[in-house]
Amino acid sequence: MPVITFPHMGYVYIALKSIFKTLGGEVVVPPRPNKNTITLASKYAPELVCLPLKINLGNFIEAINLGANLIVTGGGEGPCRYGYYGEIQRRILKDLGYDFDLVMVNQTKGIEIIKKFKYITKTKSTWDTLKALYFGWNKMKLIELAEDNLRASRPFEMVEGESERVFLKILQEIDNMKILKEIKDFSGYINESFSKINIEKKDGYLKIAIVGEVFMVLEPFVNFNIEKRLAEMGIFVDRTVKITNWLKRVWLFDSEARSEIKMIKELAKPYLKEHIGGEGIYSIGQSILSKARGYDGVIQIAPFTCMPEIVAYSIFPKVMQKEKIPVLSLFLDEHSVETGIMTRVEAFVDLIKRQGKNKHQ
Amino acid sequence: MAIMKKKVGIPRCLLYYNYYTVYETFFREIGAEIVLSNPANITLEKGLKLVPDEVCLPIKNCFGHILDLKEKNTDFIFLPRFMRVEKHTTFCPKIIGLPDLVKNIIPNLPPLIELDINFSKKIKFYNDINNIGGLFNSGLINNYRAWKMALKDHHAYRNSLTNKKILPSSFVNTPAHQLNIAVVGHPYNIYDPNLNLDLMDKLKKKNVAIYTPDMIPMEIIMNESNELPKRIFWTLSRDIVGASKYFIKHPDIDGIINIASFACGPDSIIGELISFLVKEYGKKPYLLLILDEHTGSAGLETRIEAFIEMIRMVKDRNS
Repeated sequence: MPVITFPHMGYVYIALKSIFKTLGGEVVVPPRPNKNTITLASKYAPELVCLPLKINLGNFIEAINLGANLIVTGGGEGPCRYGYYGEIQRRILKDLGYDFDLVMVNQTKGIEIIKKFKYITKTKSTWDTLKALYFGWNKMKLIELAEDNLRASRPFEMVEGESERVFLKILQEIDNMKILKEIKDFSGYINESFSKINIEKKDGYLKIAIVGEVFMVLEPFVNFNIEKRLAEMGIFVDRTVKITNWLKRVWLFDSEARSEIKMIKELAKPYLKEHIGGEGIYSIGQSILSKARGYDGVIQIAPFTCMPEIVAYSIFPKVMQKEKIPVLSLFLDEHSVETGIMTRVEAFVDLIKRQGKNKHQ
Repeated sequence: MAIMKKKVGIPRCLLYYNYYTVYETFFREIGAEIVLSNPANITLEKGLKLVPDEVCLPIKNCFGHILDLKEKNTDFIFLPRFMRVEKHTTFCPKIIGLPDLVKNIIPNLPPLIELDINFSKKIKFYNDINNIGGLFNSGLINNYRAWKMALKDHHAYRNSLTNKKILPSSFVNTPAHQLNIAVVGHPYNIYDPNLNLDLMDKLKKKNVAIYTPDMIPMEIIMNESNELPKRIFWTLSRDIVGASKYFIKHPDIDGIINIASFACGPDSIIGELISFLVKEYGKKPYLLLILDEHTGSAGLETRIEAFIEMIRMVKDRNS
């Protein structure tokens, strides 16, 4: 009997878990990334490879130790390294003597996803697979709605930690949902729960947009929960990378999401002409867009040696100069230390505060 | 009176090492004067000052070469954007974004000739070729003749590398003390003595015959790499892995040296992949050398010496 596991990336595990469970599979969710994950990762992964591969490898080892024997992970066709992660991870784990099966799903190809999911869960019915995927998709939408609400209330809450308490409770409830029916009307409930939180907005609060490589941006453990830390300083944070937006664009041919990404590419064009894989071009485009939307600064987060983000990073000085938007680039790896990173973030915040004083008063 | 030819600067870096014959024939035939950047070590140091630390060594080196061309006051600098040269493979993000990097980092450059090289956009490509010819006052027919000739020269050059059939027949009479070592890696790393600190010379002095992926016919490379469970989607890395797999299996190759650059994305993946292939197909001595701008010549020498001594020891014991 296959026991399915998958890599972590933010709260995506909730949606993935429910997809596999709905299809009748047995699932082991790896422990949330922790110190042990990093220790395992840096021990067995190639030294110069980027951090997401290492963390995912640690996830897999921890999950296998908990009884998983079928790893489901993403794949692609480049030019970003991510496309080859699965093959390298498979070889490393086999070399360590683990017994398991690894399936790479190219997440950009709809038909392949259905086929592979049917293979993984041994389901015969395409209809059931689609239904399960739809269920997972709806969960993901709810999670991101809750995250949006959290972002809107956390910087301004009167009682510290209240928003996060509400958020975690909602996350738990989403995780517990078993059938599609329960999801109905839940978005109303989410909005209502958050509206009960007492908030006080001060005039001239800062707004910062976070751009960068998707894993590093979505996974609070590797980015030192930067969203929370900024919110604690009373800063409104927007994370431009959203799973549902990506899914809408790639799978559902949603015209709104597509036209937005087209606009972002258009904005980046004077600086970067071609799509270079990963989120490189979007990091640049989103920063320019954020400026137009009234944000005071941009923080770019990426793993050390990330190719697309390094191209963006090298171009950012010109963007900063021409578009007059402050950008802080953080390249993180397993050796990054929270204090060091947070000092840089605080200094950056102080800088834009001083710069923004004239504007807001 | 002869008209002064317009000068085109070609940086001696990156894909130059793969496609130089194409560049040379094409620009010569459309009536341009080719100016190459300086091969000397000083170029790298110039580049280092401009580019962020996180960027890989070959790109830093490339910036040095472009600065050098800027000082040479050429009319144009040729900086093609390599995206796809064949259907299923691509180049790394930094190579795709190179013209953008250069334009945004170096101010006041001479006009860049940015030729988009994309397999799937042939009509645009031929149009671009024609426009480039126009810059040097060459007409439509001559432009396409030049391009055809450039391709012909390139294939002739590639064939001259591979049709010697160096492997395996020539090994029959190799001197007893000569070692056959495969040096694999990106062409811009293994053929640029400034980046690899004269590695090739160092090996030759130690009575080593060197084999590189370029000497392996394309069909072999394709066959070897197609056997992998997951296809490699970078053109250059595919060649490296395909050739390495052939070298690993070949009984006459005594050892493999992989030259990788620090912070290179594909190298970090295929370096690991090759070491797994070494384990999979019988154990060949394998040395992974990672280069960056701090690599010291003495340190490199020591590692190579140790590697070669090890191979000789094993060989002597077995013979």
